[in-house]
Amino acid sequence: MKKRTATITAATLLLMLVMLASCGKSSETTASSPAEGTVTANTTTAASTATDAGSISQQKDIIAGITVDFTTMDPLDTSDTLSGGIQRMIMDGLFGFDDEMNIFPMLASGYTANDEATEFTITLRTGISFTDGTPWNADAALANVARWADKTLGLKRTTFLSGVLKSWEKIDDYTIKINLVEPFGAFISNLAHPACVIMSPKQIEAGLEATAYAPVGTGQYTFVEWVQGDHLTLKLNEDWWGYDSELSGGTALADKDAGFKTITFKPVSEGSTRVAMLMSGDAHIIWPVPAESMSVLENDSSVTVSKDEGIVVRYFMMNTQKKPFDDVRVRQAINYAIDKNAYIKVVKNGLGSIATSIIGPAVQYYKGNDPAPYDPEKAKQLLAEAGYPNGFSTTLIYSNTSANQKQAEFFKQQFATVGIDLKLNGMESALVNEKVQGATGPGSQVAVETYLSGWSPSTGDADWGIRPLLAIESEPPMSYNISYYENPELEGYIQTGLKSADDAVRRDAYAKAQDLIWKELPMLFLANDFNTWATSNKITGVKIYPDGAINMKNAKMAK
Amino acid sequence: MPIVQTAADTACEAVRKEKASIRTPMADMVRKFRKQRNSVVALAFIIILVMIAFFGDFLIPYQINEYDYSATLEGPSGAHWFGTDEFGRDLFSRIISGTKISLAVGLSAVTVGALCGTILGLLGGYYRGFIDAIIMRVADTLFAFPGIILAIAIVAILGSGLSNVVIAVAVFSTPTFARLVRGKTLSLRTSVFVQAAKNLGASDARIIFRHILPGAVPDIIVQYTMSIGSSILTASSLSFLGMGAQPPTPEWGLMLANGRNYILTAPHIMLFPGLAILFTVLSFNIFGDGLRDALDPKLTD
Repeated sequence: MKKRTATITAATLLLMLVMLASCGKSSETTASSPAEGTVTANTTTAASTATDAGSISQQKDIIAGITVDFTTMDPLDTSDTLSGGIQRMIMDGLFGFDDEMNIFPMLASGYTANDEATEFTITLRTGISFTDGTPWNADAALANVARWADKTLGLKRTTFLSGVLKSWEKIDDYTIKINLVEPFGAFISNLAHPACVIMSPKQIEAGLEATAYAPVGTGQYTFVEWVQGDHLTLKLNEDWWGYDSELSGGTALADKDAGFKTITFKPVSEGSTRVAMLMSGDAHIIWPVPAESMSVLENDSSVTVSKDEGIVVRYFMMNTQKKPFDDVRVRQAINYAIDKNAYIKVVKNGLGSIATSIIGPAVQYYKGNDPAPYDPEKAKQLLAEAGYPNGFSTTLIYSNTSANQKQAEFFKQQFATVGIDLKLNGMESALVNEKVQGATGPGSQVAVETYLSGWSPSTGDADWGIRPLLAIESEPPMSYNISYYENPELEGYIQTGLKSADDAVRRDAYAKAQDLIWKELPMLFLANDFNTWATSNKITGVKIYPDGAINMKNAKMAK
Repeated sequence: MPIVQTAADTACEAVRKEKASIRTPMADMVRKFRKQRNSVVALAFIIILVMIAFFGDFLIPYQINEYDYSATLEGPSGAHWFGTDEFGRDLFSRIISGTKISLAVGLSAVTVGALCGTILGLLGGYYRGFIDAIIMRVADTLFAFPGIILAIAIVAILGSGLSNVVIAVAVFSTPTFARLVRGKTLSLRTSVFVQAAKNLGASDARIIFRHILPGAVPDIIVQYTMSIGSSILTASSLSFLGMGAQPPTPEWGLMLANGRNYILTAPHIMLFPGLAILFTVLSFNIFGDGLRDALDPKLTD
């Protein structure tokens, strides 16, 4: 017996030995040429097999696997897309987005604005009531407007509109008028932002506890319960106005048979566990799909995997008030030094497209430009011109999620090829928030030199994609101008776009702004993220809005 | 006469035989150890590991941070024996290069722990009283935590990084040595030869280090060897949890953590660092087992 175990041990160790022993010194170095990273958006793999669904779908209980728990159910206190997405299922906004991020009136039926974009008159849809029985009318609308403007609440999104709302009045039972402090061309887009979904006035009166844990709206689903850390359950609202084509103004928002009896959202942080849940039937919908598992799910015939280009753009931010990034040639050099095809292939596992502007193509007033080619020689030349022929050393601060870690290592490798030593400083996200977003003082004094970030303007409008990232007023701790970029010319375009409601004026201003940003490179524009999701193949109609929020309006289950 | 003659002959014979196989403790240990086939294999493997740790960097076919974006996540092949990771880095080179990190962390942490523990154990066991009470109660407190939890707590206080992992592992292996050496010291301090030394006027230091410590050495050696395995495991676990080595260090635990994301699509990224940890820890444990049996005077053949 003893002898036998000895033999086994010997054999296993020998195995290792053999692997080690024969290792010759091969000086062959492989060139780091990236494979072509061509990716196509809007591909849905695996054919959907749902045939005649019937309202049987509305008898089904569905489980959805999500990455983290929700933060709150109060839309005005929400800064994460995940929570915002669920709130949009419970509560409708005055305006909403269709699948392609185009704005359409939901609880509003239309609006008019004056030329200066300071006065907005909004007409409301009739015949709708909240799920607690309260009718939807001007009073309910104004209760919500008053809440948006209430600075005393101190919620995360309180600053979203409270600064621009001046006064509001009821014209008649189904018409309201809102006056703004200053011209704000993106006002209607902001009303479509998930922070501005409409809540029942009863809940608003009941206070913050009620709005955070018991949301009531006019939506397709009603809130049942939320056991924090475990699950959140929604129940179908069969009387939802969106099923009624007359109430919806011609075409219904969703098919009569769409929807599920209940949907239970379960936070499962481990990506591979989520995948296993879907494959074993313990979950019916998961999003996002871990990039590493895409190919596994694609090969599973009981699962439908989908991906779609979103509006999250990935950036590499550089503090333009600190040396050496104050020199545009250095920023250009780095732009040439980053192989963006490789970035998409290696970091994004192919799930992304090369960024062509500071905002994604689905955002209103997007104007694309050609990405810089990968050219390390040109990068070195530019660095030499800028006075750094031997490169330099700089530090990258990032929150150490596994995705960020991979990005950071990628940049370290890429920077090294042009002689720049990138020191990695991954930290807990709370610490990063404190050091980067929470920093006070001028850009030349703060700790951050370079930073990894992504941004999706959930208003779907160029304003919210540019102003929070590059306007002078947005420097931390106010907002996210972590590049500490200050350019009067850009400031002019931002203000022009902001202060006009005229489509042509805004389009022109934002086009110029995007061209300028592309030339000035206050940050590197890397990729547009793809949204990924997977469902059991009996389920159809699940989508992800370009901003990354789930869209189940027309989801249904066959069989 | 002939009878006497025979008796003398037998005596001579016996002496001669005795000389042919003098049983020094060392020779005895080696002889006993060699009987443990498992342990001999384990020792051979450890020697190879040590050699890899010293000379590995001259053997590796690729640089550890040499990336190749056109060959990411590739399985084992002729060009890359263990395949490549998500950046197209050669896993074989990285694992070879990680050997010295794991061994260095394991050895240094246990050495520090053994030194501190031995000194504390000797002091407590020899002087008894207040010192002993304090040392042993602190040791009891540390024993109350599972090793890895204690290590996590220490790293959480000190911050992540390999040097702090060494400190954490050293701290949690200290009480084991302290308790072990204290027990041995307690039994030896009352023995006749220690009493004799005391009566001859030997200093405390002399008694502790010349008379008591050598008696505890076999136990310390066994414990030392056994601890290396668990230290390497703990250090790797801390790196796995993101509290130890930071990327792009080719630390096994870190590589294992990385591979976790690809367990369904590219399992080799997880497999090879896992095997490296397994074999290393296993061989230290088997070696320790054999050493214990060889050094245990109660075990006879």
